[in-house]
Amino acid sequence: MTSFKELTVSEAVLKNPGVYVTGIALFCNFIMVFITFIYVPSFLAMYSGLPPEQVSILSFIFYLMGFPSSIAVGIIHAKLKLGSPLAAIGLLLNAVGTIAMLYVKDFTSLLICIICIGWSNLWPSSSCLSIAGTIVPPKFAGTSVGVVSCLGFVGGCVGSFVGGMYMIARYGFPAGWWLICITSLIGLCFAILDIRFERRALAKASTA
Amino acid sequence: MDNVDVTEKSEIPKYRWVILAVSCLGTFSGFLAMNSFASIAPFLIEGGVWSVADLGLWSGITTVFCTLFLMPSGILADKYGRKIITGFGLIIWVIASIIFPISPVLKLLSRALMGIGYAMLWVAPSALLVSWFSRKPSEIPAAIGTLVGFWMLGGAVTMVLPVYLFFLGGGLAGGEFYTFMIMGVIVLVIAIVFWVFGKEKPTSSIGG
Repeated sequence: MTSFKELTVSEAVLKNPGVYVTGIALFCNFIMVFITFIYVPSFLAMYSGLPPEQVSILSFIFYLMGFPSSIAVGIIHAKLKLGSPLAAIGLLLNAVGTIAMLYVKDFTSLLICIICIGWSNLWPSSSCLSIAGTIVPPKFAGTSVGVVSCLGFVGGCVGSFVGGMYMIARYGFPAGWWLICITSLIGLCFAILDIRFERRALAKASTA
Repeated sequence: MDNVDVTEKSEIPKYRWVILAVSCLGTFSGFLAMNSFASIAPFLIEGGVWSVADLGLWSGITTVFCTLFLMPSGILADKYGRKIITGFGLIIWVIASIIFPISPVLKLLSRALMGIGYAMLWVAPSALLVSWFSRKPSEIPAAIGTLVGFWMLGGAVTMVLPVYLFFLGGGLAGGEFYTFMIMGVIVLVIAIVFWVFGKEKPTSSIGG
């Protein structure tokens, strides 16, 4: 068996399928994150019919939710020893929250949707970054996080340009939300697929 | 000396919590430096100083440069040290914040630099935490989750602080310059704190 110390960057990171599966899960998550970061505040301002002060409160809550939620998901991930299921749950919650947002208009219902989206928005990012750092030997953690994040940020570009600028501008907010929903569900499949790679990496790490 | 000595291989360094704290401070400053323009944008657009197209261009440039520099940042962090790359990213942000309000051409350069700094700050602190927490891998997800949480806390603060600074600095007459100078100073202080308290690895040599 090849020990971790003998591995090269290519063997440890570039030939590791788990890195790419994690990257694709993050790719889908970032499409959604980049659209929601830009469009949740504008959606609330232009589409919800709420007064500006309520829009400000909801936008602030949306951003603020990410703080306790990321810490919470990190702690749960540490207890469960697996991050992929949490990434999958986060992506699913996002899809549900964004679709629900299209069909409600009152402050309380929108608040529930915002909490749901804001709470789950960064679950996949947090889990995928942890997986990227632990799926390879610590010596290659930077490169692995770099590769996974690069795939994620390509998703971010797609989210901003295709989702944000083109689809929402041309077809309106519902098109953007459905794009978020579809990418969340694709990401969910990859997050589920990632469970296998994460388990294998954990088993390998414990025997090394 | 850059590292903390750990005599016993099995010893779990308590200094890891200091590393987590300074890494979180670094990522917290990320949104402050990068997204300040978004929260003061409505006032400057209304005043005819900026346009919506400007905002799209600046966001796009940052995202593209960030995506391009994520992988190189990871490789550089593994090769030259995660502390150095994190510190370098913070210094890039200081420069980018200070040059942003000076001229339209420097605004484009600033946003490109922000992207490069963002890539470094996205990858290097995560990898730094992996090195420090690798003796207790079960804590890695909680540490990275906390790190991601501080990005979002920065995002929430960005919705309030730049607006306050903008009006404190005179609004349309000098508020933009004042806001970005103060942001630059805040990130500079955080960079100094990170450099003083940040250590590369819990061993007597970088190679571990």
